[in-house]
Amino acid sequence: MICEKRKDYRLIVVLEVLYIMPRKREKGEREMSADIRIRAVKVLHGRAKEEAMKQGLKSDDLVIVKTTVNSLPEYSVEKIEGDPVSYLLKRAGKT
Amino acid sequence: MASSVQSSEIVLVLCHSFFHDAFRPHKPLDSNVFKTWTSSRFVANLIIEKQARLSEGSFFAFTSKQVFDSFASKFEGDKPSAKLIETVQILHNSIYVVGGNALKNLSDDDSVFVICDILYSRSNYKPILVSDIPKKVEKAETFYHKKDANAKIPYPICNAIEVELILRDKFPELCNLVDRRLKKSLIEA
Repeated sequence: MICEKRKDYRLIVVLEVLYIMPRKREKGEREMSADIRIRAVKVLHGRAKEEAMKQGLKSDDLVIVKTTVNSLPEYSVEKIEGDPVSYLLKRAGKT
Repeated sequence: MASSVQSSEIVLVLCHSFFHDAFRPHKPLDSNVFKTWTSSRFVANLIIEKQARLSEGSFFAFTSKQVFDSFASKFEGDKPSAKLIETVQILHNSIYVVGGNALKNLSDDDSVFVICDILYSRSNYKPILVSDIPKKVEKAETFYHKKDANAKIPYPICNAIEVELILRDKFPELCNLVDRRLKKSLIEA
């Protein structure tokens, strides 16, 4: 675990030193009103995990976690059915 | 001695063609294109599956801002729906999109060559450049030979079919999970 953290840190340092991975978004870059990403239920914690448990999800299930911040963050959890790419395309109305 | 040597970790650097093949909505009719499509779809699913389990700040796949933005603008079209914009944001969060001044004036191809070179040269990672364009090797050679006529491409450049085989060998359990999910999607379709 410590080794993995060190390695991640090294990669970020390597690329940031070269100024090709700025942590702050530049003007005109994609802004997000909420953070939205795919996570496995097994890595969730706290209220996000509770939300997944309420839906009866299993640890290997994948979910779309949408985080909105209104002082205390709110987490909405949506189960991905089938493979993630097909699900995303269907969800976006592409298929 | 052997215990002090760390093995390199595979990471993928994605080219423009990969995104278009993986997120092509409908099954291609041509058999060669179909094989590339199924492998690209498999690799994209594995990237998402792997990233979903990594801690925040760790990444398995990389691309450049210009490559991602070029794909995203075509994928979204003129008037994207909220769900389509969310899909692009989800993809953006499933890979490390590298931006910044050093890359911004480079072509799509050169930007991913630079990312691969840095990952290879300055860290304990083994990058694989994923591209379905056969001429990518020639382009990479031209890029390296601009500064040094004897320079060799230090990382492999593979198409999606080749990358699928590498990933199946390296991550058998995760690949089985991807196969099960793909099968489920096929049954439900």
